[in-house]
Amino acid sequence: MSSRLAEGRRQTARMINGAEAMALGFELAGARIAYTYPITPQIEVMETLSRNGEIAYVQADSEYNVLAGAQGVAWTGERCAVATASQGLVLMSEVMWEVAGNRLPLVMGVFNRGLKGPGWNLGAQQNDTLFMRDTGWLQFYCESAQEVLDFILIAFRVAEESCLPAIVAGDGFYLSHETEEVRIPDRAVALAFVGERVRSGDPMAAGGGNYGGLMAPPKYSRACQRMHHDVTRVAAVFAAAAAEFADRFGRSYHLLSPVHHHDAETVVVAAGTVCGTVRDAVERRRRRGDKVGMVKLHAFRPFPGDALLAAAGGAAKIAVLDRNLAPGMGGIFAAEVRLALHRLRCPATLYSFVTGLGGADVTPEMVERALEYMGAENGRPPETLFLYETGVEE
Amino acid sequence: MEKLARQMGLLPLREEMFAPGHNACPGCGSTIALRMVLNAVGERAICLVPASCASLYVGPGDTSAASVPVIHTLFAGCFAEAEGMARGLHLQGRDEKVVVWAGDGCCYDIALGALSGTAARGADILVVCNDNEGYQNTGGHQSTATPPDAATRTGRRSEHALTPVGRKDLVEIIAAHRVPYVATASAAFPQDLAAKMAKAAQIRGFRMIVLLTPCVTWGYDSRHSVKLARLAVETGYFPLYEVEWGRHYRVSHEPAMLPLEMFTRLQKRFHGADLDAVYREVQAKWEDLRFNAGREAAALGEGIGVPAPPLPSPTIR
Ligand code: SF4
Ligand SMILES: [Mg+2]
Repeated sequence: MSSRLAEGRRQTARMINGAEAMALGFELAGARIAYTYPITPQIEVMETLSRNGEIAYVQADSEYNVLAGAQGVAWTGERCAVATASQGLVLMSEVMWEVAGNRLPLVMGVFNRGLKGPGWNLGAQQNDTLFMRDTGWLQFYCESAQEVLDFILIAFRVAEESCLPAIVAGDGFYLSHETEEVRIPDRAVALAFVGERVRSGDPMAAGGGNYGGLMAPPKYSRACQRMHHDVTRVAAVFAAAAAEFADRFGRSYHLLSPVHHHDAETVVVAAGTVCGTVRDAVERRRRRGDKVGMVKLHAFRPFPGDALLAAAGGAAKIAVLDRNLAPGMGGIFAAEVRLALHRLRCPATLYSFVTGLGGADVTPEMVERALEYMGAENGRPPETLFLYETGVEE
Repeated sequence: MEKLARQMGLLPLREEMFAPGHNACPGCGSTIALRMVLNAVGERAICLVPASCASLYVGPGDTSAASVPVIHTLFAGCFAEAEGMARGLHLQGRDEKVVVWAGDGCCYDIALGALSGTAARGADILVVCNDNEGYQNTGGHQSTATPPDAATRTGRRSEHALTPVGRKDLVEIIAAHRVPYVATASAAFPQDLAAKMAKAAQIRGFRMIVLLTPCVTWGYDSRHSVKLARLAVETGYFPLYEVEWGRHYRVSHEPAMLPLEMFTRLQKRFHGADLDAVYREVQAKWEDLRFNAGREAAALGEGIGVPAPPLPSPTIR
């Protein structure tokens, strides 16, 4: 056993929920300021942070100003804790673009929650974070409280190394409020992993100069192009950070993780807490001899298209479960997968299931229904299917 | 630039924190004021500029007319961002002052909530409101700082309102937050402006200075820029005063109370405007100001037997 893993063994196991795990992640990453605003279901994150005497706790007047304030903190090179959900994140949208454009490595925790469209909703739905798709923020999705804590640490490391901000997301209530055993890294080891905050391009150290002023089209377009390439390059930065994380703490992460994929004829792709349900259904089917596998997506940005095809490209049928909906297009993860299949000339047939909207429960039986539907349906499936407890609908 | 100035013996240039070479309109009243503001704050400062003419005139491309770092930022986000920056610096034991140079559209309208929020949270920032009474960067559009009967590119505010409207009184709104310091100032009164800036720079906590800065979109001859700034004060249209902790009022310059027309007639925006309405607003402002400033003097037994200070002159028409 390496000495680093021995270090990592100094972890304490505690029963905590995802919200507490998120707050702990920020504390362990060395955030000295927290910008907050109350919104369900991230309330417990801010409450936990407020109890930490070592963190300067600020409650702003809106989520918009939470992110604006956090951006100010980031300019000075300090790490800042930020967490929100739903309406709060959407209210931040304008600032989201600016933070990424300024290349400030903020890390934000989000507990996904449905947006006020047809009505108020409190349940899990990923449209809030997915709405931020084009901002330049990295996006990671978690299945457990342990992952929430671990990904906050990894996200800080990756964000600061790539000068890009990152969202660490988990389903509201399913993750924020469920208590589980979480192994909590030793503070010094966690900080050693995240590393010293290297402040480059600090305007205050540089004297006079304009930051973020008017840019002529050639310069603006090059800056956008560079951001695009930097987001795609994060895959390598992530791999290195995750390898060191595994070395120190014994938990290994990738942009996606496949299960039973080698001989799978059908693969189910999902992100978030629904992955547990899918795993359950896949195991049941396996016991019955069906060649079914799954791919859990940890990252939406960068989107691990190549890795996905490497894991699931051999399957004849790929299902994508989306707890989100872009009306007129369908599931958002499915759209990304469809694009990757097309780009890499993969002949697998894609089945896009939108399910669990507004926090509706997704059961293993429902996943099995989707698999049965796929088994029976051998033509070209409709672009988008809706999966309910009662069955599959168009 | 500074080195060259020194070599050439142009010593005054050395002290300028805002150099020539910006690209504001000729006759812009705000760049004169910005130079005074930055000179008063000094080198250990960082300036945030939300969307405005200053997003452009501080320096196009990679150049900058300012000697301090200028962060160009969002219309509605600048105040909270400045607050976060001040908090970060504070945590690191650094002493740079955080200054926001924001227009009236920002302070009165889109970021009023943020202004209130940062004031209420005691943010350690100095907000300088460059009030030219409208969204002038877009070409002259009405804000809630625009006099109701002044012409703008989209008509007069009074035309669009269903019920009578007035100018928002931003100084009073912020003073009501009981912040350490709020004041008005004008580039036409440089000593008064410098004294207020120096005072504000020393205080810790939320501070705001509102500057009335003439803008060519008001429809004046560019040579009249400073004259208009002076007339705004001397007619009583824009009182120079300060408020400490929301209660202690002081009028810092006694205006000559020249007829209001001397200010308005030089500007096309007031042509055909109901000047009586403007006058009534100005008079009400002075009545309140005299009352608030006199309250403290009366408590101290000052001013007894002294004739009441003047209110604005009635319009001559
Ligand atoms: S539009 Fe007005 S504020 Fe803007 S640069 Fe011109 S004169 Fe100055
Ligand atoms: Mg303006």
